[in-house]
Amino acid sequence: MDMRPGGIWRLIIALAAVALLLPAPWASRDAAAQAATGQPYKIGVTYPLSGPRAAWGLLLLPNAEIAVQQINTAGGVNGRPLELVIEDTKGNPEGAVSAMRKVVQIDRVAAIVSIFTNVVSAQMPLADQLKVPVVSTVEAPGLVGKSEWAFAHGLFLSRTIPAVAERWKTQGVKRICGLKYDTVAAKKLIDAYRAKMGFDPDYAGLEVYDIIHMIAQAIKANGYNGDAIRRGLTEIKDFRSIGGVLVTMGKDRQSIVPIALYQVKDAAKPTFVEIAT
Amino acid sequence: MDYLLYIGALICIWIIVCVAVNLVVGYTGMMAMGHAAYLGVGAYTAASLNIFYGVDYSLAMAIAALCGAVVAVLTLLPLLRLGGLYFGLATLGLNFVFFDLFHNLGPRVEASEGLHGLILPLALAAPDTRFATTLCITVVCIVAARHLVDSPLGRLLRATRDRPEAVDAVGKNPTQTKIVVWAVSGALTGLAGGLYAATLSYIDASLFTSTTSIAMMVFVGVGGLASTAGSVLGPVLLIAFTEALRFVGLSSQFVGPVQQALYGVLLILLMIFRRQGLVGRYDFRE
Amino acid sequence: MNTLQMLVVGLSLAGSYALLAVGFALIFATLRIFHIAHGTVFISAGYVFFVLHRVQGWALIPSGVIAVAAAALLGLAIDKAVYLPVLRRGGGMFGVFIASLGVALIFEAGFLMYTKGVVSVARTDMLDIMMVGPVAVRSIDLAVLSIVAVVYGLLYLWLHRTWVGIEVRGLTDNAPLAAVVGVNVDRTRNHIFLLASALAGLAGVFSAYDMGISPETGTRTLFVAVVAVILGGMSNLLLGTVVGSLALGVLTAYAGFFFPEWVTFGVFITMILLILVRPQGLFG
Repeated sequence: MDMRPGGIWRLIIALAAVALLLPAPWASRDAAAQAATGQPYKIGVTYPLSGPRAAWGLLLLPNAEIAVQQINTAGGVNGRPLELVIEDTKGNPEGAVSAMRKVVQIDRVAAIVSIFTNVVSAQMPLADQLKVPVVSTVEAPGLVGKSEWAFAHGLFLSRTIPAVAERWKTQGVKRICGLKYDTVAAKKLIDAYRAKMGFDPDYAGLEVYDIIHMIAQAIKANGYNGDAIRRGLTEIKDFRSIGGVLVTMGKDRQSIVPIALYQVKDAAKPTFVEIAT
Repeated sequence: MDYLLYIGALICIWIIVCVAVNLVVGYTGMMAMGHAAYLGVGAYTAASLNIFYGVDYSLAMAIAALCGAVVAVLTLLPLLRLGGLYFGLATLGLNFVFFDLFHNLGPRVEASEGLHGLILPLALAAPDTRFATTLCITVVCIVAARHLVDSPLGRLLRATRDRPEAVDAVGKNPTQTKIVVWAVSGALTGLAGGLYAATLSYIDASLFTSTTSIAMMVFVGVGGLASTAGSVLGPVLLIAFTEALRFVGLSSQFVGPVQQALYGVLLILLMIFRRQGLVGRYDFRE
Repeated sequence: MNTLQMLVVGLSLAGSYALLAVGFALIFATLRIFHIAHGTVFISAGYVFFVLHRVQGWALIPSGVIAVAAAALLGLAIDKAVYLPVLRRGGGMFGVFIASLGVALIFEAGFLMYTKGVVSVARTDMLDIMMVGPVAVRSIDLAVLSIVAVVYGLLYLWLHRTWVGIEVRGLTDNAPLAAVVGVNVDRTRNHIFLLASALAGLAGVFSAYDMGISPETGTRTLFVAVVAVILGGMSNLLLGTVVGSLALGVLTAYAGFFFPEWVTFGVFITMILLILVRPQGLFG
C-alpha cells in the first residue's frame, strides 16, 4: 500500500480526528433512576472493569448501581439524587490515575469509590492534591491512615483476624493451610493467625488429598461459583468433627480469605461446608 | 485540563520507551521482549532513592538511567549468542524473573504494596510543569536517538541487523555494537521509568509485567519499526484511542470489555492494512 | 505433603499443558506463527463445553465433541480471517503476532462480558479422589493422562504414517524445500490449524471440567505451554512437548511447595538457562 509523502500525514490527521471527535465528550454514564429531583451529586466509581481483576469490578458494579437506585427512590441525599460516573482502572496504577483524573477533573465528581490496594495507593496522593475523598475497602491496616482524603469503609485485618481466630478456636479448628501466600504481608498474616490460634499450622500436618481438593475449591471460591459451593454443602450439626479451615489469598494479594471448614469423616470423600462469616 | 496534561505526560514517557525499544528491535533487529524489566529497574531506583534516601529527583532519574543501562547490559551478555527467536523468548522470560524480584524483594512503603510519597522538584510536581519537563526530555531523547541512527554507528546497527557477516568482514564487531545500543536502550528506558514513577506518583510490581513488554512491542509495531516517527505515532495513536474510548457513552455493564475489544479490533485492522506499522521501514521476516 | 504426592500433582499439571503445547508447537514450527490466539481457541472450547454441558444440561460426550469441533473451526477461521490477510499483504511475523494479540483481546473481552469474570466450572459433581498408598490421586487426572497418551499415540501415527503428517514434518524441517518438493502448503496449513486447534479445544474441555476457566485463563495457560515447548524443543515435536510439559509440571509442583512466591521466577530462570545451554531444547 504505497502512499505519497503527503498521504501519510493525511492518514494520521484523519485517525487523530476520528479518535478525538468520534466519542461524545463529556458524556457520562449515569445509572440511577431519579425519584429525587435537583442537581445530582456525582460520585465517581473507579473499578477494574477489564484485565485480570475485572471479575471484581464487574460484579461489584451492579451493587453500586442498585444502591444508588434505592437511595434515589427514597429521596436521594438532601433531596438531590445521586449519579454514578463509572470508569475502568484496569486494575493497575496507570489506569487508576487516568480513571481518577477523568472523573474528578472532567466529570467533576464529588467523591470516588474505588477498590484494590495498588489502585487506591496510586489514587491517594492525587486525592490529597485534588482534595477529593476516595472511599475504598482496603484492608491493610495503616494504609489509608496516611492520607487525609482517603477513607476505608471496611474492617482492617487488624480487627478481623483476631475475631476470626477466636471463632475458629471455639470450633476446635486444628489445621490451617495457607494457599499461595506469596506476599510478605500475607506471610505475616499467616504468622498472626498462627500466634492467635496457639498452634503451628503447616502443610505437613495435612492429609495429602486436601491440597489437590483445596486448590480446586480455592479456585472455585475465588470466582464464587455459587452452584459449585452449594453442591458441596453439607449440614454439619456436630462441629466437633471439623477438621480444618481452607484459606486462600485474597485477590488483592494481601488478605487471607477463609473459604470453608472441612470435615474428614471419610478419608476418600472430604466434604466442605461454607463458612458463615 | 490536568487530565489531558497527565495523558500527555504519559504519552511522552511511552514515546521515550518506544524510541528505546525501536533502537534495538527496529534498527538492530534484536527481538527485545523484556524491556518492562528495565522500566521497572529505572522506576524503582529513582523512587527508592528519593523516598528512602532523600535524593533529589533529577539526580535520582539520572542514576535510574544509569542503572537501566547496567542491568540491560548484564542481562544481555548471557543471551548474546542466541539467535532471533530464542533471544526473544529469553527476554520474554526476563519479565517474569524481574516481576518476581520486584514483587518479593522490591522495596515498599510500609503497609503498601509499592512505593509512593515521592518528593518532586518544582519541574515535576504539578501536572503542567510535569508535562512540560517530560516533553522536553522526550524531545531530547528523540533528537539523541535520531543522531545515533544517522551516525556511522547507526549504519553499523542496520548492517548488523541485515548483514552481520558483512560487518564482520569489514572488521567491526557486531557484538560490541549490540552491547552499546542495548546499553543506550536500557538507559533511555530507565530514564523513562523514573519519569513514570513521578507521573503516577505510585509504583508497584504490577506495572512491570510481560503484558507491559508486549504493550511496548505493540506500540512499536503499530507505529513502525526502524522509524523515529513511528516511535512517536504508535503511543500517540494507541493511548489517545484508549483514553478517547472513555468518552464514548457506553452502558456501564460494557465499559471495560468493549474498550478492550475495540482496541483488539484496531490492532487487527492496523496489521492488515498497515502491516509495517504506520510509518515503518522494516519488517521481521523469517 | 510428601514428595510422591508432589510428583502426582506435577503430572496432573503436565497433562493439561501437554495438549496445548503440542498444538502451539505444531503451528509455530511449521508456519512460524506465534499464535497467541491459541489460548483463545483453548478457552472458547471450554466455554462452549460449559454452556452445553453445565448450562443446557447436555450429556458429557456430545458437549465435549462439539466443543472440540468448534475449537478446530475457530482456529481455522482465525487463520483465514486474520493471519492470511496480514501475510498476503506482506506482513511478517511481527504483524501476525500483534494481530493474534488483537484476536485474543477481543475474545477475552467477549467472555468477560458474558461471564463477568466469574470462573465457569463445567462439572456438575464433585471430583473423585482415590488413595493409592500414601498418595491421593484424582480420577480426572488419570482420565486426562490416559487421553493425552492416546492422543499422542494418534499424533505419532498421523505424523509418521499419513501423507499429510509427513508433509507437516517436511514443513517443520524445511519449509521452502517442502514447497519445492510439491507439498501443498495451503492444504497442509489448514490441516495443521484444524488439528492444533482441536487439541487446544480438548485441553479447554478438560480445564473447564476440572478447575473451571475464566477469560484470562487462555493467555495465562498459553504462556505456560510456550515455556513447555521451549523446554522440550521443537525439533522433535511430540517427544519435546511431552518431556517439556512433564518437566514443567513437576518443576512447578515442587517449586510451588517449597518456595511458592518464587515459582514463576524459578520456572523462567530454568527456561533461560536451558535456552542458553541447549537452545534446541532437551531433544534438539
